[in-house]
Amino acid sequence: MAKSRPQFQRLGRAIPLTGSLAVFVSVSLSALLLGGCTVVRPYQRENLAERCMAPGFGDKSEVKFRAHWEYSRHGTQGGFGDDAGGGGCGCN
Amino acid sequence: MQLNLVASVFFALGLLLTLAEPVRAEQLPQNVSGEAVFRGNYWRDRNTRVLNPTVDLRQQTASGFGVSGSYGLDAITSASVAAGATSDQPFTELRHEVGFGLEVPVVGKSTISGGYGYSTESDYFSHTASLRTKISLFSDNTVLRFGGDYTHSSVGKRLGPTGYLNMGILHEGHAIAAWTQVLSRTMVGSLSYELFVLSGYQNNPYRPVFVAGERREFENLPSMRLRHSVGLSGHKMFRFEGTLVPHLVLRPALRLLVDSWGVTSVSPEFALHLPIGPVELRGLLGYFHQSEASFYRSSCGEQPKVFPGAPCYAERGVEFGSTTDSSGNVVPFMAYTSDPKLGTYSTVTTELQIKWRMTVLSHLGPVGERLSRSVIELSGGMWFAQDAVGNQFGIPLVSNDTIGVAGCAASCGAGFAHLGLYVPL
Repeated sequence: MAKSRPQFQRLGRAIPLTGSLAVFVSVSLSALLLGGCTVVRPYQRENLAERCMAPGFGDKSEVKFRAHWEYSRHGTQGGFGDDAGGGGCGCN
Repeated sequence: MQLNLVASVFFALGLLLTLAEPVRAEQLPQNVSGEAVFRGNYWRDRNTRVLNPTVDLRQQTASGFGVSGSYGLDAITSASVAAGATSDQPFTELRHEVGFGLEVPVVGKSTISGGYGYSTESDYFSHTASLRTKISLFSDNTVLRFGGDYTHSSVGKRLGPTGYLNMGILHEGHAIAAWTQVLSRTMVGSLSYELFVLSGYQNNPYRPVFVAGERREFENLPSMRLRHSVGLSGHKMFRFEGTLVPHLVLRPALRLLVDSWGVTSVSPEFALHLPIGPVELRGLLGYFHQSEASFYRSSCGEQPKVFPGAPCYAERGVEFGSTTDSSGNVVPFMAYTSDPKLGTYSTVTTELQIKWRMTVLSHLGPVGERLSRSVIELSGGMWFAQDAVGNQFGIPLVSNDTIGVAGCAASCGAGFAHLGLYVPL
């Protein structure tokens, strides 16, 4: 049987945020937006230069492995900010 | 047993290092100009063991040009039972992955970068091309990144040592928009959105599923899938007066994922960084919950060799969109999967990590001085899973598990460990 692309279903399905998650996301977004008013100069970045303050989910090589691990074990893709790997099945 | 040993080694090492230099905590700065990272990753679950050594190289010039390269190896025991295999053998599957990238400055600290990656294993070959732009605003306090990737994968099926059957092609497009914002001298946040468009062969050619009662067939998944993901993270540092424990960093994060197959997942996590003397400890606690795909079923009742909650279809699949038959008629597309990862389940991940800056090398001349900025990383953790995923992948954590020989029914988990070395270039 020739297989064509099935029609998309539930493309517009909403993310099922619970109330607490919605509040968390809203507060975090607000903090990000409001923070744009602050300018931290390069000479004021001693704390931000620490390895543990690297934005995102950790060191880049660690995140790269983590993204691949999440894909293999949870079947997820994305969410780490930038995890473009080199492909691969990861179907174990 | 292995995990107990790893935990004991971490504790002893941390205690030793802390007692050795108890006066002042070391800084562990980011090596912005360049770094070589060597990592060894180990994973052990009920069916599979994975050894994953990687090396990542990155070098940036003062003018903003950057180059990067990477290599990774996945050495895997035979595919897990969940993936269709029936036995566990020594590391028989190897996946090699190489990649390189180039970054070019445009204006100020804004850059454009591109890259290529290739992954090869015995039955799966992928090429990936990447393009990124980074826009730096307000004295680098705001960084916006936009980009896209295209991955072309050839999927095959191994038929013994020499036989090979080409199953199909998978095209994958990936778009990303990310925003990093410095919020204060001690706080930074990130927000990202990603879209994945997958078109083509997405079945696992080895994994059969019970369909219409007892008929075992290979899974039949829709050829198109759209996936959306949102990631949110924040770092907050709390400074202290003392020198032994100069600060504490809290990092909450959240990932939300939803796709056109009806799968939705929520994954909050929390990390805590605590420098104590020459080492930095990091604790990580993550939770993952997923709701099943709309065509996922576990409707066979009790079946031999089928774990509770595992995919199983009493009917002949679930209608999901339409397709055309050999006569050109539009007919319903009947989807069925045997992948427990498309089901409803929850997992918890815990990890303890120790990073140690090699300051002891600073007395060994100029080379030692440079290497003293290197960092060694040790980490280990446990992954706990429930429902069908826990049944199939988890190691029974209690001795009287009712299906402990064939799977895991109650308290199920897996273990992992990492060893890393970060060397400044």
